[in-house]
Parts: sequence; structure tokens; C-alpha cells
Amino acid sequence: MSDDRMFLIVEDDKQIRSFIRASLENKNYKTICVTTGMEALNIISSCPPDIVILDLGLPDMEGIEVIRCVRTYSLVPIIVVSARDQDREKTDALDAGADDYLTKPFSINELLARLRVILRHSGALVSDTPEPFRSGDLVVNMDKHQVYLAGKDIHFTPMEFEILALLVKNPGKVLTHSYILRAVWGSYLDSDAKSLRVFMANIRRKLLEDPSTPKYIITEVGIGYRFADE
Amino acid sequence: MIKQVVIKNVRNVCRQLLIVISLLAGAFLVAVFIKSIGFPVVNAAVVYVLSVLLVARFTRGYFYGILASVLCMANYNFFFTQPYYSFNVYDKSDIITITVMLIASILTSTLTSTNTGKLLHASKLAEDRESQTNILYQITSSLAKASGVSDVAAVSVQCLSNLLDTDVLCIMSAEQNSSRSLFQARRGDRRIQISEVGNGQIEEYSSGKKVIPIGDPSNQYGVICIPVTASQKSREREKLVPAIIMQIQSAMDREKFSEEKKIVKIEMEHEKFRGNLLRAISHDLRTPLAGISGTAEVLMSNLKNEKDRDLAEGIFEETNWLTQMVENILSLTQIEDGHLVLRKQPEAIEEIVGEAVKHARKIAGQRKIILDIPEDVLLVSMDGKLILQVLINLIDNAIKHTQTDGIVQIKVYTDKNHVWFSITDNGSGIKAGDLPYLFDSFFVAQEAKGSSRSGIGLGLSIVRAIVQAHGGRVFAENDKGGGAVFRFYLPVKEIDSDER
Repeated sequence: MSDDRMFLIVEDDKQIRSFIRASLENKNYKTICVTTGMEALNIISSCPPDIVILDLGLPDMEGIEVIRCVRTYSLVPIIVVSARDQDREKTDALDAGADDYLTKPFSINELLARLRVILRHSGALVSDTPEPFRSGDLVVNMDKHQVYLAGKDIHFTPMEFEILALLVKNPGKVLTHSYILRAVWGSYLDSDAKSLRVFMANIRRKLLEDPSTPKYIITEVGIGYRFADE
Repeated sequence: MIKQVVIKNVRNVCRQLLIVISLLAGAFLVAVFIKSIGFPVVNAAVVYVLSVLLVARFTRGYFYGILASVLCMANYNFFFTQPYYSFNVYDKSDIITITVMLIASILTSTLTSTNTGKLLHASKLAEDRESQTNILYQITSSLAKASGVSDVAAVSVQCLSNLLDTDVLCIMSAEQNSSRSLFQARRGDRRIQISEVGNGQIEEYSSGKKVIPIGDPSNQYGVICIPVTASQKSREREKLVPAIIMQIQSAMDREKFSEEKKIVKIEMEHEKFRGNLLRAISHDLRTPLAGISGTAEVLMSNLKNEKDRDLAEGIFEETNWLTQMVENILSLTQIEDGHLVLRKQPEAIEEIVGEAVKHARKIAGQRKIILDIPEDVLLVSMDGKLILQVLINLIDNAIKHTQTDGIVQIKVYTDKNHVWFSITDNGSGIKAGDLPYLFDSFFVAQEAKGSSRSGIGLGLSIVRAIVQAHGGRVFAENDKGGGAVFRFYLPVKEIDSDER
């Protein structure tokens, strides 16, 4: 499996850097490794990689700053790797424009799976095309606001459809609660967090989802939701 | 003492009488002079009135003025009215003169002496007030300079000793230990003796003395002891003592608060240091552990030799166990230090339980996981991540204590004010002796101690800490069927009012 795609690994810990590199090179991906945020920004602007694996705790600057800076000129997918288990930082990183996150220690297979998902969709933004979105038994017609499950037309309220459409347009990407609320409600109050949970529960029931074996909507506890993409 | 006072009084009377006699003598001489140069004798009467006025001015009390008036008139009658050198009066007008003069002089003398007395009294009062103000000012400024409650006590006994010119004691209230500090100022000695006294010795020091408490009964700093026998002057000054005690109390209040503030500050710094240390350890341990486990994982897939692969797998598993341990210790220290910040949000129970079951299915192997959850959407305000950890810990525990073909049942149900979670397994159950200690830190069930990687008994204490932080409770018991049941509840409040 040969691939021209290039991965940028931004990580100050030597051991973590080298095993990520080793596992990616096993899969014949090209890698560049840097240890600081400044170096990362230089590389991203001079020879844009296909994907960035970014540690949040860098010696020279906060990882979040790197994301904000990159997002001013590039849509390159960023996957955040963080030793800190604080949800706040993860949520901030995702809100700043990161595509996914992993908490150290993480399994290499998990990382590779996440990378595959991101690679599959990078560049191919699902948009309001007449072409319906398909995933397993689920068909979502963005244009006509129609949802089919195993060929059966399922009735979605406008708000439920908005949320589902938002998730479907970003397959595999973690959407934080606040991102969804902002995108669907416009501005939101904290009390809308409750409404979001209820809408998600209704959507899950309509899609016949079992939260312990989700096929479509994956819960990221304390962070948000993502649309499964396997 | 009394003798001295009597002598002082006798001297005082003599002096006053001397003033009366000399002024009268002066008046007599002037009157003789007036008469000798041929002016009317009535002028002499005026001179006498003047002398009475002067007597009233320079003596204290009515007595000397009236005495002088009577003496003057007798004198005038004797020397200057006919018949001379006798108290008889020939001329009727002389009687009028003498009577009027007597009344006038008595009146003037009493008025004058009253006014003089008042003036003198007022000026003495003003002097007293000034000196009192001075003393209070000095005490206030010394108290303001004192730092620390003990220093305030030392300054207080010094000031009171100076003020009352006597020995003063201050016995401080006992703090944690039973001994009390004693501050002792001796009369005329600038040094303060500080010593420790036992509770039993208090009586010994305070007996026969006036004991004045500092502070309210609920918050008493100590007592001031002043000897009861004191001079006239100190008795006057003792009137200042309540005001001074108030000053001392407020100075002690001030110092106590600032000391408490200092302690709080030190504690805060201590906690900050501890927090930083924990963060440093967590980062310093987690990062290399992540490196080791990741590297071992890469090796597992790269190595061709099966024996080598097993070795790498061993490293991987041990590292993961160690990582789990570090995380557990960290969570527990954070929770127990009260540093746990609950980030409560309304969460759908099905999402949290769903995630927990998803995790359980990964590690369950052949075990059967049964989920029983109400169909309705159930929203509870909680920190989703932490409750997920509670469920995962309990499910892990259940899986650990069941056979490979065991059954773990997870059930969610509600009553009026609570949402209940129960995790039931069909394992060997909990030994009756272990039940009370199950949720204690570092408790490991007896039969589990032998097995190598049983953990160090933090999982369940984390469970209890998190549930309690949410206002819930956790219970462990044995199922009728033989396995163990862990149940916990979370309070269900009106979410609308509880959200943040």
C-alpha cells in the first residue's frame, strides 16, 4: 500500500514521536517530524502536509495557538494528541478547528483508524449536492430534507434534520456540543444543552440506534458527537 | 496614709486662713490711711468689700468669704464707726451701711467663690481629660504597632501597668494545648515577663485580683488581672480601663484575623505547590508511559518471531496497567483534595450508560452484558465523564470477578427523586467481612491479594468519591443468586434550575 501522502508529526517527546513515525512508515506513509509550534507553522505554510498530528503541550507555544494560526490560511486536517485529560482543552482544540483528538496513552490502531477516516474525507467536503448521502442503511437527501432507513422514509422534524445533516456533512469528525449548538441554533444559551441531548435521543430512536453499539452516531462523553464512518 | 491626709488638710486650712488675715490686715491699713488723710469713712467700707472679694477669689469655698465678710464688718464697726473701739453704733445710718455692706460682701464673696470654684473645677476637668486622651492615644498607637496577638497582650499589660502604676497580668486563653501564656508587667519595670502556665495555676495568679475578660464569652482571648487595692489616682484612672479593654480586644481581633489570613495564604500556597507537583508527576509519568506502550504496540506488529512478540505484548500490558494505576491515583488525590471540579451538564443517561457498555463489550470476552434501561429519555445533571468512569470502574470490577462465561447486568431505574444504576454479576460475590471496607482506599479483597495484577484497590474509592461529589450514594451487597450487586443513585433535580 504505497501512498504519496505526507504526515506532519508535531510532538516534543522523542519516544512518542518515533513510534508514531514508525507505525506510519510501516504503512508506507511519508512523515516529517518537528518538535515546536513555530517549526510546525513554517512547514505547514511552506510545504503543506496532508494531515497534522499535533501534541497540545509544546515547548514554545500552546497547541491551540498553532491550530488557530493554521486555520487562518489552511484547512489541513489536524488530529490532536494530548496528555492532558482535561475536556476543556480538548473542546477548545476542537472548537479552534481540530478535526479529532486522542488522549495519551492511545492505541496505535486507534490512531491509524482515525487517520484513515480523516484521509478519506479530506478535500471531499460533503455539501448540499443533489447526490444523497449514504452510510449503511441510511440515506440522507440534503436537498429534499429526506431521511431513509433501509428504504423506509423516516420523518424528521426540521431541527432534528438540521442536526443530522450537520453530523452527516462532517463524517468522522468530532463536533463539540457548542459547535452544534452554534451551527443549528445560531446563538445559544447553556440551557440549550438539554435540548440538544433530547434531540439526539430522538434522532437515535428514529435511526433505531442502540447507544452501546452505535452504527451512526457516536457519543463523545463530555465533548460532543461524531457521525460514524466505518 | 490617713495621717498624711489630715496633715495636708490642716496645712490647707492654715494657708487659707493666712490669706484671709493678710488681706484683712491690708484692707485695715488702707482704711486707716484713708481716714487719716480725711476722706469720708464710707470709703473704708468699700475697701473692706474689695478685700472680701479678693478673699473669695483666692480661697476655696464659701466659708472663708463669709468669715472675711463678718470679720470686715466687725472690724469696720470697731474702728471706724462711732463710738470708736466698741461694737456699739450711735448713728442709725451706720447700721444701714454695715448691714448693707455685710449682705453685699457675703453675696459677692459667695458668687465669686462659686465662679472661681467652677472655673477651677472646669480647668481641672479639662486637664484630666487631656491626660486621659493622651493615655488613650498612647495606648492606641502602641496597640496599633503591635503585631500578633501575643505582642498585643504584652503591650497591653505594659500600658495598663504604666497607667495604673501597679502590677498587671494577662492570662491568655488556651489554644490547642492545655498550657496558657502569661504576660506579667511589674510596676516601674519596662520588661514584660512571659511564661507558660498550666490550667491549674490560673486560680493562683488571679485570686484576690480584679479579673477583666477580653472578648466575648464565645471568643475570649484571655483575662487581665489588676490588683484590687489601688490609690485614689489609679482609682480615677481605672475608669479608663473598660475603654482600654475594648481597644485591646479590637487589636486582638485585628491580629487574629491577620494571623488567620496568613495561615490561609500559607495553606493556599501549600495546595498550589501540591497541585503543581501532581500535575508535574502526571505529565512526567504519562508521557513516557504513552511512549512505552505505543512503542511496544508497534513492536508487536513488527516482530516476526512469536516469542519476541509475546515479550512486546508483555511490555504493552504491563504499561497499560501502570498507566491505569497512575490515572487512578491522580483522580483519587484530586477528588480527595477537593480539587475535583464537577462540570455538570444535563446528560442523557442512555448516552453515558451506552458508552460504558461499549467499553465493557470490548473487554468482556465471552461474558454476557445485559443492559436494561428505561425507554424514555432521562436527563440528569452530572459530570458525564466522571459518571462514565464510575460505571466503567464498576463494570470492570464485575468482569474481573466473574468467570469467562459470566453475566453482567446493568440496569437503570428511577424513583421519585433519584435515578438508580445497578451492576449485578453472577460471580462469587463479596465476602461478608469485606463489605464494610470495600470502598476504602487501597483495600483489596483477601482472595484477590494473591493474584498479581489485581490493582491496589482504588477503583471503588474513586467510585464512592465521585458519586458522593454528585450528592449520591453507592451501595454494595450480595445478590440472592450469589453474585455481587453494586448500586448507586444520583439525585434528580429539576434540570432547568440546576443547569450551569
